[in-house]
Amino acid sequence: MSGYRLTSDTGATPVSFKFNGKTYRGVQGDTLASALLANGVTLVGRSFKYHRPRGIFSAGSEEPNAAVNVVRGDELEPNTLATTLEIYNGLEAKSQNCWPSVDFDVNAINSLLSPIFVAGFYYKTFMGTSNKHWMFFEKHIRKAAGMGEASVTADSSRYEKQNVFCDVLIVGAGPAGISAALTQAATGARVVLADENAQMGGALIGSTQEIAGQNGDGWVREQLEKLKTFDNVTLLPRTTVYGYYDNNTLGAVERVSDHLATPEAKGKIRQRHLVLKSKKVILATGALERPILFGDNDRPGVMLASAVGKYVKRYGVVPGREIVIFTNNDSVYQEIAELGARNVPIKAVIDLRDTLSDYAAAVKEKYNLRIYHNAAVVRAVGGKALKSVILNNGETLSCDVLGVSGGWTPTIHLQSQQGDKPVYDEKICSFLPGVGHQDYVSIGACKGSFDLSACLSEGGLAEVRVEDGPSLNILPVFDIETTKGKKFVDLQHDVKTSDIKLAKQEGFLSVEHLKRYTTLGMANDQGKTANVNALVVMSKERQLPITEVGTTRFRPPYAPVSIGALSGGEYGEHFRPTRRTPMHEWHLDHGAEMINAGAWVRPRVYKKAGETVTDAYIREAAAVRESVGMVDVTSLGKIEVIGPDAPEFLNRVYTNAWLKLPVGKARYGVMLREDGHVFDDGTTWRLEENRFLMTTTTANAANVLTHLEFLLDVIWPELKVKVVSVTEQWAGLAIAGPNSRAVLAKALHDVDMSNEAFPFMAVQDAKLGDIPVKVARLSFSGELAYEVWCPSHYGYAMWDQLYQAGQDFNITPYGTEALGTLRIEKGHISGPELDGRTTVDDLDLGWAWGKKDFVGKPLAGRDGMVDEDRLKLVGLVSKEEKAIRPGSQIVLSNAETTLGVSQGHVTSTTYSPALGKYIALALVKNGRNKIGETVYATYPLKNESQAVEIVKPHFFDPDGSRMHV
Amino acid sequence: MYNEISISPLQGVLNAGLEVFYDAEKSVDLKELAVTSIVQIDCWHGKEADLFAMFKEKLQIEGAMENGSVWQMADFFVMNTSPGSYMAVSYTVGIWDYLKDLISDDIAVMTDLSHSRSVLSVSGAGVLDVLSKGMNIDLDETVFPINHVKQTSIAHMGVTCYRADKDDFKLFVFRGFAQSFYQWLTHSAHDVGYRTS
Repeated sequence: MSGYRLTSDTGATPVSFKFNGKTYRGVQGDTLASALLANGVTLVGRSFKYHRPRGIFSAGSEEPNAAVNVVRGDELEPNTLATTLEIYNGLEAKSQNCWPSVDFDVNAINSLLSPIFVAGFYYKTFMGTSNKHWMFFEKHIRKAAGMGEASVTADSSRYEKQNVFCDVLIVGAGPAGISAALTQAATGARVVLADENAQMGGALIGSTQEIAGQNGDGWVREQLEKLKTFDNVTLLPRTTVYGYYDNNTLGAVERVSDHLATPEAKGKIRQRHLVLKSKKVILATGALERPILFGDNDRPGVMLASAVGKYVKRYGVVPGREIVIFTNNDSVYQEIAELGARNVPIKAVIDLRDTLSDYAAAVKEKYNLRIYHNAAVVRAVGGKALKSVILNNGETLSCDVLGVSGGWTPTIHLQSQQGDKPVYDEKICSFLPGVGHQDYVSIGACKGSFDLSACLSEGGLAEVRVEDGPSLNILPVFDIETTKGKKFVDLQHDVKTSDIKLAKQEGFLSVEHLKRYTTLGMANDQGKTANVNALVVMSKERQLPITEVGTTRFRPPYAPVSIGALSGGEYGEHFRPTRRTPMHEWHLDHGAEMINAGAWVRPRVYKKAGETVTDAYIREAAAVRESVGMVDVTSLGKIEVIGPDAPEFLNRVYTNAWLKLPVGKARYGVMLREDGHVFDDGTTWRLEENRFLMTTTTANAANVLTHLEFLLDVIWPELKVKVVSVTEQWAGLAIAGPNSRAVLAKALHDVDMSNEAFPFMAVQDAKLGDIPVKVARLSFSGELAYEVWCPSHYGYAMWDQLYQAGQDFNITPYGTEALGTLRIEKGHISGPELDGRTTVDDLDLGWAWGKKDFVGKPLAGRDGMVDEDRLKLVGLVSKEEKAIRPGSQIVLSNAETTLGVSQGHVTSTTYSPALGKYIALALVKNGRNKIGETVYATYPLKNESQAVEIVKPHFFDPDGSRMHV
Repeated sequence: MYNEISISPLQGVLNAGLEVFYDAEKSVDLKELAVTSIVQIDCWHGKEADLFAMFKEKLQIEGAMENGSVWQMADFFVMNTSPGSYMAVSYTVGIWDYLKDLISDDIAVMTDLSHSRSVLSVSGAGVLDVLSKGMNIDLDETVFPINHVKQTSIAHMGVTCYRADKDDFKLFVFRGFAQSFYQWLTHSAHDVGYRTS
């Protein structure tokens, strides 16, 4: 193939780019494909399986061959289509799936071994008798096959997402789409017109067909300018609508700056993922030309006839010097006329039909065409470039380009995605959209209207006078009988007609099975040029009409979507939002190592120089037991429960009683799910007669609020209660340790901190300087302790002032690790024990079981929920003075460490500075009756096991005397 | 920092005077609004009309009861955030006591949320472009009129969005998410440009 650029286009802006390390020149507006063709480059890549030489087959997103790797510094983007990649100064691309080069590819030997590389070859050959076989071969197979080379460097480009709402979305800016846009724009509707190409206009770009007294190219440019004058019209070129979902929601990707050498400004995004929501959708997605199957139909230089026309009309590039056309229909004669108008010669036309239509005859006469009637190409000859074609009469025609037209396949991917079942149409030998399930219409070529005047008319411009074009006049011949050469149905996946026949022989009759067995129609081109021909081959094999063979349903995406576009800005620190407490900066300034707790970020430990995490939490926990510590508890869920029926509501929600809780007191409560399992726990404070402040665990805050709202809205709407989340309204800290009272007494005013005036579980208002605070005497640590809350904006000041007040007592800030240590020492449950499978009795909370009714009570009495053999909360003490790994399984003897039956598992572990031992909480089968027994905590993944003694879960100060002083 | 003891969650993050690719023709202005008082008012079932009638009489609100309406008073405004639920906001005065006197317990209950939200003003020519990157809500004025409020989610964060003018929105987010939300906002405004005040 020796393509060249028409001299009339030499005034365009030159662009320099590299392909496979060699510098070429193209012009602004070129795709990589058009620029390579203009430079006479024939060989672009190697095929997926056989590594056969491949060239450029099409001029759009249907391209199965010319996928390249784009190099951006250290980054690689594989599977970029040369046919849609716009060139820019500095573009660097390279062929993929070849080594060491596209010209000399070692794996081309696969082509010689092709007789054994049939459909299902890998499954049949490498699976073996165990997974090991496949695991061994897989990496070699992946190296030899595959689609490009993924980048190992993080993508530095910027992506974003955007929601777009409109009244009418039109997909496809060809003549039908533009016509519809003009019509809809005039109604005042908000119109969005999206097209995957850089240039809108579709088949009219470069067209000389006369419309309204001027050529098609001029007419369409004029209409686009007209559309730009409407404020209610948004034009989205370079935008591929890839998916059609429920409620007229469509996904699209706009290539914002892929075509720019350097984005116009720093921060320019590369691609934008659009979620389009439209009241009405007009699909004007056009049609794709399909090839005819013959021997060695994959040789570089064999391409779609319409692609030959597009390169000439759009880019001024002629793909070769000796062009032969092979067709079964009339549409190609319009392309020939366009080429003729530009003095591009056609060597011969191989037409499968006996006679010509008037239109084709006129083209023949005007351009003095040499036409072979009732003829077929049986084989293409060449290696890295096409040299000739052999006809069914035995004649050989030398050529460097063979333009093939086997008819047109309406692009009905979007219609199919939203639920249409395609309908086969004998007249056009292809599928049309079926019955729509949403508010959309198909117009133009995608509904089989290939005539230009019909396209304009369906869009709403029925009055426009259009020069007659050809009718399709297709002869239903898809597959030429040949004796030599491979006939590729799916060029991208190297699926041949023989593979389809083999699939049929082996019983893969369903189209869905055929697809999966042969990989036909998979990968990034989604079989756009292959599917219909494949169905024809299968229908012939099964001796059934195509309508009975069936078709697969298209799934999104229509064209590949980059992961970057899908993720938008949600990566790195934007991957998910984080919640910070008001004291966040204080923690960081004081050496806190932070940890995520759901969306919240909390201090894990405050490390001092040279400390490990373990050193730090042991020091912090010991400081609490010995003097005083403070911990940020802002992340606890907080819900105001308000209304005259609030006590009754709490009484029904919690297992224990709430009707008599006095104002100014708090109570611990346990709530169950409806199925009887423990849902959450926490304290609830009665602030006023009809106002309570409920606290929840950090993890369950939103779930508990939803639960309460459900109960009030659905189960007990008669209760006069409102629940409102106030989690963000309050900053909170716990101050714990023997000196906690002294610290507060020093810092607070307007409150008597004595044991008598401020007893256990009391709640009082106070002032910390100018800060209004609520103080509750509660203890999670087992020490004398208080929680102090203030409105959130004061949180930092509250924390800092109490920290300063505690300096005389060597107050120690502590994190979640020490918090865990203190509560494990006390046997207090938390998230690991509230795992959704435990009951009140499992967790030794039977004292909180009220006589009255409450949510979950009926189902909590089921046999399985009260079985004695259930896993019960116990404590464990290491007998080997080793850390007990959380998640360890409990087995009864050391011999069972790897294969024994689990008797339970470790939920929470720590080193206890108070006891000087490694301890844990665990859920053990019938555990409360095994106190004193030695069992083994085993962790097979690490091959670890150790002897542990089962003890009561309350390790430290079991009578609670320390918190009642 | 709102004052010596009351500290914004965006302190040290939203710095006034920053300009990033700012162009008045297409950019946005970002500003944190210090709120003095936020009160949530939740109406009892069946009392919606009574509450609205009280609003009409005492606050001299005009128009019909319409979901999403926002009514401006001299010192504060009231947003109808969902059926039977309102959020009263003042940038200048405490309004709890005033509303407590106004609203009887048998009509509605009130909750003080003054410290629970961070409020960001986003305005300027590029505001619809920026917000549409996160809001799954049609921002066309016929769908989302001026002086209306909508509850939505942006980048997994709940947002109460008040449209004060054609190109002027006030966004209420949970205080704890303020920094993450501001990061999203500046990230999304990066290509159109922004300035802070």
